[in-house]
Amino acid sequence: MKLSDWSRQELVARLAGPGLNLWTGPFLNRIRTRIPAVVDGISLLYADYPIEAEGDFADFHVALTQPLGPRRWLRRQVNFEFDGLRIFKPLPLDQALPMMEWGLNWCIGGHAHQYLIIHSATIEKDGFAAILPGAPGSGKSTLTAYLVNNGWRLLSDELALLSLEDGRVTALARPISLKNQSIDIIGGLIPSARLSRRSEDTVKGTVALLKAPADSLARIGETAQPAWVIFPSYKKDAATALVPRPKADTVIEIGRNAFNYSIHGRQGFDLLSKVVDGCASYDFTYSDLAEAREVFAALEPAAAPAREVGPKTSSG
Amino acid sequence: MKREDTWCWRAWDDEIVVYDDLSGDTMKLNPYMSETLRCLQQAPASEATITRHLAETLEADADSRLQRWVARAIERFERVGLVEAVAASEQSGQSG
Repeated sequence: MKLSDWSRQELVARLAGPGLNLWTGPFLNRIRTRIPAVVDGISLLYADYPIEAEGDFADFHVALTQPLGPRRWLRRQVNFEFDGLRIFKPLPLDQALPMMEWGLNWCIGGHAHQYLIIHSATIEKDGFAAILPGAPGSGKSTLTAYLVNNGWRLLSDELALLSLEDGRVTALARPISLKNQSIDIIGGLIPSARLSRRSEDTVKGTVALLKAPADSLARIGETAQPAWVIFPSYKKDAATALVPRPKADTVIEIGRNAFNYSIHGRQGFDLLSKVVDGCASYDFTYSDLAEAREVFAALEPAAAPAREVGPKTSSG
Repeated sequence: MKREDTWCWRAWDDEIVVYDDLSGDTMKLNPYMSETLRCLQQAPASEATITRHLAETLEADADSRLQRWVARAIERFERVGLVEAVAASEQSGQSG
C-alpha cells in the first residue's frame, strides 16, 4: 500500500489523528501534523512511498505542531517534536516542510547506529555507489538532483547509510533539498521535476524539495557496493575536473563528515578504511552539469585495494 | 619502544592514518611521523636509530635538530598511547 492510495481527506485525518505510518527506506516514521503546508508537501513528495495502515510500532514518532499562545497567530512558528519532546527551537511556519526533513535526518543520524552514517549524497549505477560528501554550498544536492534524473539512482541526498557488516549502502531515497539558484536550474533542466513550494529565509536560504525519481523509489530495497568517494565542488565558470584524491585524506574527511563515527570506535575505523580501500577517491570540480554527467558516466569501479601495513593492519 | 594494543593504522601509498581506540582520535601522519612509526613497527628502536633511519629514508641530515624532532615525535606517540618505552635490552639492532 502506498500513500497515494489514500484520499486527501483520509491523509489529512491520519496526520491530524493517529499519525501517518510512512516507510522511508528501512525506517518507519509516524508523522502527525495539522499544518496545511506539511500535508501538501507530504502528499506531493511522498505519494509513492509505502505506508502502514495499522500498527503500533514506528522507528521515529515525530510531529510538526504550532506553538500555543501569541505565536499561533503572530509571526507564526512551527515546532518539530520527537517522542513528544521539542528538540529544536521553533522555526517560522513557512519552514515547516524543510524542518520535517531536517528533523527526520536528525532522527536517523542520532539513532540509527546499526549503520555508519556519513553526511553525504549517495547515488548508484550498475550496483555500484558513488558517495558524494560535501559541505553546504558545495553543489552536492544540485549535482545529485541532476544525475539521478540522468541515469543514476538516488540512494540519498543527505545521509549515506553504510552497513556495519559489509559496508554496502542502504537506500533512503527521500526528497532532495535544493537551495537558492539550484531550484530554478534543476527546474529548468528537468521538465518532469516535481518541486515543493519554496520556503524563504531558512538558514540555508531559499529551500525547495525535489521529489525522488520513481525508479529510485521502485528499487529502494536494493543496496549498493561503494565504488567511488567523490568530493564535489561547484565553482562558477570552472572547468570540469576529476582529480584523484589521497585515500588517507579521504578517510579523515569522511570521518569528520560522519554522524556516528565516534560511537562505533574501532569498528567504525575498520569499516571506513575498508570502504575507502574499495573505492576510487576524487575531488570533482564542475560548473557545467552536462559535462559532469559525462564524467560520471565514464567512471569505472576501482579494483586495487590499499596496501596494508603491519600484522593484519592492526593491533595485537 | 613497542607497539601498543589500543591503536591500529592503515597505509595508503606513503601516507598513514592512525586510529587510537582509547581517545577515539583518527589522525593522518606527516611523512616523518609515518616513517617513524613504520620504523617502530619493524622492531623496538632507540631515538638515535630512528634518527638515522629517517635521515637515510627521507634524505635529511642526521643532525641534532632531527634527533630533537624524533624525541618530540616519540613523546607525542607515547602521550596518545601509540608507543611505549621498553628496556634497552628489548631493543634489537641498536647502537645508539
